[in-house]
Amino acid sequence: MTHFKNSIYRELKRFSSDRSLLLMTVIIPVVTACLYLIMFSKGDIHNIPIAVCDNDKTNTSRQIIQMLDATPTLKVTLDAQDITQAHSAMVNGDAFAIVNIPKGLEKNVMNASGAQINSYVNGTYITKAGIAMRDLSTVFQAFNIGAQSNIMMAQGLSPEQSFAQSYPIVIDKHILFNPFGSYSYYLLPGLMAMILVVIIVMTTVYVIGTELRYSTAPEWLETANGNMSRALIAKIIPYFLLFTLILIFFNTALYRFLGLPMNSDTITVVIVGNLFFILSHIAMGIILIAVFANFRLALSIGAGISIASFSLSGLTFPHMAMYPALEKLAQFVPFTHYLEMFIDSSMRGAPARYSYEQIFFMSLFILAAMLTVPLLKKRCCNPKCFGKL
Amino acid sequence: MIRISQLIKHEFSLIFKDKGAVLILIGALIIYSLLYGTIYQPEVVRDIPIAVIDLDQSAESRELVRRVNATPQAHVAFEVNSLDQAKQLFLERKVSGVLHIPKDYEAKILRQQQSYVSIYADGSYFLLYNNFFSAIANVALNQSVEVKTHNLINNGVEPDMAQNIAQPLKSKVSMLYNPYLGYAAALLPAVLILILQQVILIGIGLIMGTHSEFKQWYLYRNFPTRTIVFVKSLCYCTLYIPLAFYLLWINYEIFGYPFKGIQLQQAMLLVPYICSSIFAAIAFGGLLRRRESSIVYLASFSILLLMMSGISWPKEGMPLWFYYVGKIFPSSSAIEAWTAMRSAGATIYNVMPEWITLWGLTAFYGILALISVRFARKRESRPNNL
Repeated sequence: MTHFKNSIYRELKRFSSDRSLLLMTVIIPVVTACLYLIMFSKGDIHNIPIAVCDNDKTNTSRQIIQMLDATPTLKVTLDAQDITQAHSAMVNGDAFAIVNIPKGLEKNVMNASGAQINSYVNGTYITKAGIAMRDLSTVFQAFNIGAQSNIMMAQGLSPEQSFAQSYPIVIDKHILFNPFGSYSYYLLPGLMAMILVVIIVMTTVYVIGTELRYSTAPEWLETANGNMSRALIAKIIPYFLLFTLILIFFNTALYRFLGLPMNSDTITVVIVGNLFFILSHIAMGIILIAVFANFRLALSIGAGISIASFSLSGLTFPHMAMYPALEKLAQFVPFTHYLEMFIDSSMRGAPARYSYEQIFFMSLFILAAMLTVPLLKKRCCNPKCFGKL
Repeated sequence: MIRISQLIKHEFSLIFKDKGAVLILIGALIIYSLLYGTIYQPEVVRDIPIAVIDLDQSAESRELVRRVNATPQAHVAFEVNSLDQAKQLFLERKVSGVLHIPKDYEAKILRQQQSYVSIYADGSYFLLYNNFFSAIANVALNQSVEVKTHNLINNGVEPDMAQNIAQPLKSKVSMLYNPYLGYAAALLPAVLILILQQVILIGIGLIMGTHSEFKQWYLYRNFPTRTIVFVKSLCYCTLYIPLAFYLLWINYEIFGYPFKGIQLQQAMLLVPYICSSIFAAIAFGGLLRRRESSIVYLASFSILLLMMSGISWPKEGMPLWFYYVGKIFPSSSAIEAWTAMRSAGATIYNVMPEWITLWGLTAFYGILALISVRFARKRESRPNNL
């Protein structure tokens, strides 16, 4: 036991004498998390600027413009003289969408002789474009319902009948697990977890890699009386606890202060899942440094894989749309499994058994890391692995 | 002049003799551009599996289901009898949306009352939710218009007229620059620009961290700081001309991203972008004491920087001051300007504010680079520099 205690003591001393470790394990993740929280503090997207080109200048066209402006996500910022002016506003970035109201709109609506409005949305910003397209269509549909109701009422139907006849099929929309349909609810937890993914992998490679790089590996092993597993566990424990604390801090910010929904009924699964999240990424770091035995190379590859985890996880671009080969590849990063577990348990409130599979997959990474322990020991005893650049 | 040419040779040998620097400066740029291109290459989500609960089993309801299935976005994978069954499929991740048609759907339409259908969409994957919802909304809108037209004709209105009363105002919303709202077409231009900055920052940081760790600044002892900064940035600029050409021209050809606008002006945008990134990298690199530090410190910021540019989460959703603070990074202005130029065909005059910002950042980081290299050399010349 004294060997174990000495090993932990040794690691704590290393931690306290290395400023860059404090920077990377505490300051960078906390600052990055705060930046994300500020970024999403508004919660939703408001006032996307749009240009309107009103060639009709009637009560009807003004009513449409007013309806567009009243939509929370949109804001009419430019009353363009002609379509050329509107288009150059879009290219300049001053307008994100153009609504072109043709001449004779009011007359054609009144006479029911086929009026049409064409709108154009800038498709280079995918989220904004999706929102603008959806809300423009909603405004035009609302206008139609109103206009037709008026015609019906003029024909002597009651307001209720007119409304029902102008709006025969109603979609009753339920967005599951995301009560306000908010984009940040789904993106923010993933981004916060991603900070830890990168930091955990890098830290693990760092704390083991520096032993090889600065030839202190024999001393490290000796402190644990030559027992590699003991040396490794003693090295990892302080960081495991530290990352657990940071994860608790992140989750407090998300659930307590931002009010994200926590739908899981078995909180144990969530906790176990989160611990396996940390452990599986530590495992990834161990595997990288054991296999490559080169601090700089393992760091470079670890950074590459962990950043790519975000895109591979399917959070933004779903797995069902990816090429099958990449969907398979995605299974080899632990973040994919963590994310699925998180969505199943915390967001969807699925019964615990749905998370077991993902926890099992994450544990495979830990198992793989255990299998590399003998290899790591070889590296630590082989002076050829020391001081590599 | 001979000494300067020696210095240039020395800088290039520093880059190419260092496997670590080559892996980041060149390798990472190539690997990342290919990996991300391949991940997002399918562009759009098609045939999202959904479950249908058709309790009505009428001609109208079956027509609705048939049309939903015919949309490119949705695919009716299961027909079930209860919401519980649908929920089960949902939790098993076999479907990503549920369409529920109540028993009196057709009867209400025939009685000219409002008829309801319910949809349950997956709010945990935004792209799936948005596509599923817009597919159903379109189908329901078209069917509404048909029902109304039919009713009007039954009431004795002329068929041509009836259609226009049923939908007094037709509307068409078109996507410009990215007609199918493809994911790669929207995101990759930004990602490629960001890759450029990140490999420059991390790669140059690695080389300069190595200088400091192995006390190699003395090799430059015959040169003033401004010459060192000038020669270093000149070498990196030269290195990044072919690399930028690969990344933003050849790679565009390989994956077929939107390619518009005037290429010479686009190259003009890249000049201050690459220069400011290189100066920022030198300024940052001078502070580092170890070879590996730049990887450790900078890797975790990549996704944050992409988000800060507003390409994914729009600037209308973040505090305005925060968006402007993000302009301190060259990538923020460059991504906005590059997307406007390359995807939307903007000219350099359209993106003048960003272009000027990038030149401002070039000057700002240029000065910081001078200060930082001076600092690094002084630190080394101190007797006990730890």
